[in-house]
Amino acid sequence: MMARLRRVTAVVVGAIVFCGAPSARAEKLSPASVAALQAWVDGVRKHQPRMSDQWVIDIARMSYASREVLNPAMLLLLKCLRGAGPFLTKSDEESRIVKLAQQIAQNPGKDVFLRRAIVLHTDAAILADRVGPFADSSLPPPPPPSRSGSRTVRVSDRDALPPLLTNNRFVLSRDGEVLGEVPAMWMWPFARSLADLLIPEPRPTVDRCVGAGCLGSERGSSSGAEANARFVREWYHTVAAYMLANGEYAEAAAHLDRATTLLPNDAAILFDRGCYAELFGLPMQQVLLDEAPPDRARRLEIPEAAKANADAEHWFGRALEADSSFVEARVRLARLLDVRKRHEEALAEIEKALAVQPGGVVGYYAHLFGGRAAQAAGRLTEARQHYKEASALFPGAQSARLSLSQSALAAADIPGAIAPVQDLPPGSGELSSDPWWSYHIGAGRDLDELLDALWTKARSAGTP
Amino acid sequence: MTAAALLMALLCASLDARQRPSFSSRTLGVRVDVLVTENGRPLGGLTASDFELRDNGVLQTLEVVDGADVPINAVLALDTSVSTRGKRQADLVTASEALLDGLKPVDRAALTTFSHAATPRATLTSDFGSVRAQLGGIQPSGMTSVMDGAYVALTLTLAQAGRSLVLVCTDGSDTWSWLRPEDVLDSARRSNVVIYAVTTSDVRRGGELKNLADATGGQLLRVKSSAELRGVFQKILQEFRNRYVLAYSPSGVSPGGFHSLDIRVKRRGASVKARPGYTGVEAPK
Repeated sequence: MMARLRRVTAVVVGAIVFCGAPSARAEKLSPASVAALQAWVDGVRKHQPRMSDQWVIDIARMSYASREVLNPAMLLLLKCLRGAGPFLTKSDEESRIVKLAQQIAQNPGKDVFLRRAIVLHTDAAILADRVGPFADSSLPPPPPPSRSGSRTVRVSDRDALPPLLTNNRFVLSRDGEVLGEVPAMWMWPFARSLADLLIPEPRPTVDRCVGAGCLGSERGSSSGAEANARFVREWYHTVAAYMLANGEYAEAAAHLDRATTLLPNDAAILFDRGCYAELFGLPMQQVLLDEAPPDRARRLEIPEAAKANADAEHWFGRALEADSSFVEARVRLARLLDVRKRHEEALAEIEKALAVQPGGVVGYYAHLFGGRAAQAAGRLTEARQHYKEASALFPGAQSARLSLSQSALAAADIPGAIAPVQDLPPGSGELSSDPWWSYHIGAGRDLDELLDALWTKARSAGTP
Repeated sequence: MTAAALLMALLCASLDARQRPSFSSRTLGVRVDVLVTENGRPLGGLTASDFELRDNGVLQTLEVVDGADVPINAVLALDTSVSTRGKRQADLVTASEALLDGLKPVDRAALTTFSHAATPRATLTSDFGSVRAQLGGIQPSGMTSVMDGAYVALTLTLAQAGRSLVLVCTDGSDTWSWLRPEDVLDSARRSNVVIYAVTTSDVRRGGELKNLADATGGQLLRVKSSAELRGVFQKILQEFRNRYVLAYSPSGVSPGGFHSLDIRVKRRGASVKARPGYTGVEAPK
């Protein structure tokens, strides 16, 4: 986990939807398209989850042009897998694809195949940076300006494109500085389109599951539909954790929008959506509105802090409606209430959260935010007690020490203000040493566990 | 308190705050660092009779000391986030060394760096070589916690003899601090520190550092290139030396809460830069 976080800290913090892609060229179903599909199917069948094998490399290095070639055959295959024909083929290519779909249905079965395909594309997105730099010389030109001349609107309808040809570009930032643009990972929208095939309406409900513990424990009595829904839910949650941990915020927007549509009552997904909204209210994102040139600032899809916080409050509220025992959702809600100067309400939520004696990171957050709310409410003694308890949980964490010092200074206790800062641990910068430093990643804290569980489960599902 | 007594107090304040009980700013009186300029240049030779200070509108009896006579505590708070790698870091180290070169043997220096972590690398010392050694060991990385770094630097000056200058230098905006700007502002108003901030960033709105500098009688300086840092650091030190220290025991005002200060010099054309107020503390009951 921390290895991934360190990489993120050094490279990317935020990526925000910047603009869309032009319409795809209409490629015809050709022998080359069918051959590309056959190679893709082979990859899905042979890929070992978690491994940077040849199939992952092939996907990660797939150019826009090669995806254009693959697209017509892929559309037909997915249509067949949905059970929507064609059953009267018009060409040899169509016949070969129908036959391929039939083979898939027989072995390993449509659902298993789709799950494997999702995992393959997930691995390609996650492991792509290990494959090495890849310059896609076939990227289409930038989209034309909108008719109004305004650059404040999105210039294409992403949803109108086949998922395989999604080609958005995002703004890349680091520590409040805009570095440039990067192409989006097409694997994510494509994997989401595959996940859509696994859970047709009406969707079965899935029990809430937080953390990785549930991923490897699919109930033996689950029906196929329930198993699919469970897989999709776990996949959405794991990928959301990955995106939040790695600063892929632009992609997370579409990902979590889809997740909350598919799983509107899933507490973990609602929590992820809340964390996503919340991070835009934090300085790390808000500064982009100050730093970016005015024309670009307008195009960044970053709401004002008040709106972001209100949005996050809404989602954490919904997460708590789905599961009132969700402690971290309650603690984060309390922080937002405090930010919005509703200190007493915040303290009431903190009190409820602490009633179950959360330890670790969540306990730290509860005391840290409880301290701040109590300080704002004028209860300095209570505030300092919270900070001390937070420090006891993470002795090396700076945030609680700084607040302990600052609250002492507010009470004219100079020695009390000096002591917590005087022996601040040397700044190794390890994000794990202060939970505040990784607050923005939400479920990304559990990323390693979640990925391990996803991969373990994918392997046990019969992947060769 | 006479001017001589004030000078002694400034020179001999507590050496080890851990050995002291809590005290309020009221028990030591109020100190205000004041820069007086005329036509943009520091105006010297002023005495108490040249100043008028009103605390919450009430005229106070002042003692005045020439700042040049008082040792300086210069605390560097330097941004060492990843964006400072390369030339910016080299220029920052060069500028810091130039500031150290400008200190007198009776002065002291301290060094705090900040990325997402604030790191007090050297507490106040007259061993400038040790501070230089710390400067040489900086490895930029991580994000930017300006407010946390400024606060840690501020705490290094608490209960220290002499006049305290905190020089915060950053190339960007605060992205990672736990402490909010209002927290640090409140703390600064409870201290006697003067904060100068230098930024190489072209931030359109980033007013937090300006608020902090203004609240302490310092200044926010923007530079276009890190190559300018050396000259700016030297200028800040020189300006800080040319200040006056005004001290008084507040009378006719209640001790607690925020006190606004109105300071004037009875010289035509003279302008005054000082903190606009301070947060007082109720006396223990």
